Amino acid sequence: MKEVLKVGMSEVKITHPPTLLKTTGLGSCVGVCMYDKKLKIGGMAHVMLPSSANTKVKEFNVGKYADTAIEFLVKSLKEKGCNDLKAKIAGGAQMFTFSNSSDIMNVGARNVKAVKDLLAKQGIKVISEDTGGNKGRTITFEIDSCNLIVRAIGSEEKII
Amino acid sequence: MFNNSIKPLQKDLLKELGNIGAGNAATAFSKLISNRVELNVPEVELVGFENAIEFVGEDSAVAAMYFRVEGALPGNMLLMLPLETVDFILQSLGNDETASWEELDSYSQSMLMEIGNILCGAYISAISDFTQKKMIPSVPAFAIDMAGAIINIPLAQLGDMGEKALLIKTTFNRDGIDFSGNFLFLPEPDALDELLRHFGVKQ
Repeated sequence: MKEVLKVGMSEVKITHPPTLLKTTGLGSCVGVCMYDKKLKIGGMAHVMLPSSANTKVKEFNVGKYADTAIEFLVKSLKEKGCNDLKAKIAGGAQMFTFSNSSDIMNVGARNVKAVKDLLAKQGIKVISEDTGGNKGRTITFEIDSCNLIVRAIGSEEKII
Repeated sequence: MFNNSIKPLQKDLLKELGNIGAGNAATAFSKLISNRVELNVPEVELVGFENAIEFVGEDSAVAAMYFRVEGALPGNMLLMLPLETVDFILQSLGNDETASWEELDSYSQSMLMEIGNILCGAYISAISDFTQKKMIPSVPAFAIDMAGAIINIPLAQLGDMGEKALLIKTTFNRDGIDFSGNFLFLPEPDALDELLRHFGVKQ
């Protein structure tokens, strides 16, 4: 049994094999996995919101926002010597639909867009993704194989 | 912004609110299904976002109804029912012994949402009566999914306001059988201030 490092909502964690990174309950949140295949180091963030620009507090978990999470992942992985970073992402579902669809209801789609834009800006390629839709996901990242295992209720396990 | 802790007296007040709200909802539920629905002691916690998914039950599947609450005590309300409970409701109220959440047609879904409406309406109106504060619930939104993923939605709404959410959780059971449905009320920081001021238990 491999050790599993759990990433809670708004957290970011970095590790290396054989430890697995796992986050449960990605609804509108987006799980961002960033890794260096050669050095076998990877990190995962459980992003809740697109931008820290709207925060009303001075101190917050860096994993909470797409911008601060990606900045932190890039910085920490580069400090560990990674220079060939790739990403895999999952989540950003729209689970509830209201008749008067407000901004908060589309937070999943906005999270996915923010994550992709920021990764592109950093020149980090998104190798694969399982985003959008209307189902929550639980994801496990295996750094060794770079496999991202995605589970959702009512569908088969996917490896992306 | 939520403070780092809530005092015992404040916690007692919030537990009482959970009791009053869910108590009224349980009475409504008992009448609907002609079964005795009992409440468990409410849990009140200031939960850090990183622990919120564990607090509601990770990736266990639930049927959830979500309401925005506007007015003097703004917040979010979730009713989460385990799927066995959904089956029980569909079978007993729909008079169809084979009904199941797996084959939810639009009629059954409307029925579930209506029950959610009645229960959450009962919860909110009880708190509103008790506090003399106006609370206006939105129309419900419905989803069957992982409890941990469901909680993303109200937490995203609170995300900019702090690092923690105040969760008032009341679970209930039917005729002693663990029904383990739960009501979650997540007041916004302004609503908490308003409540504490109203009852004179300001920090």
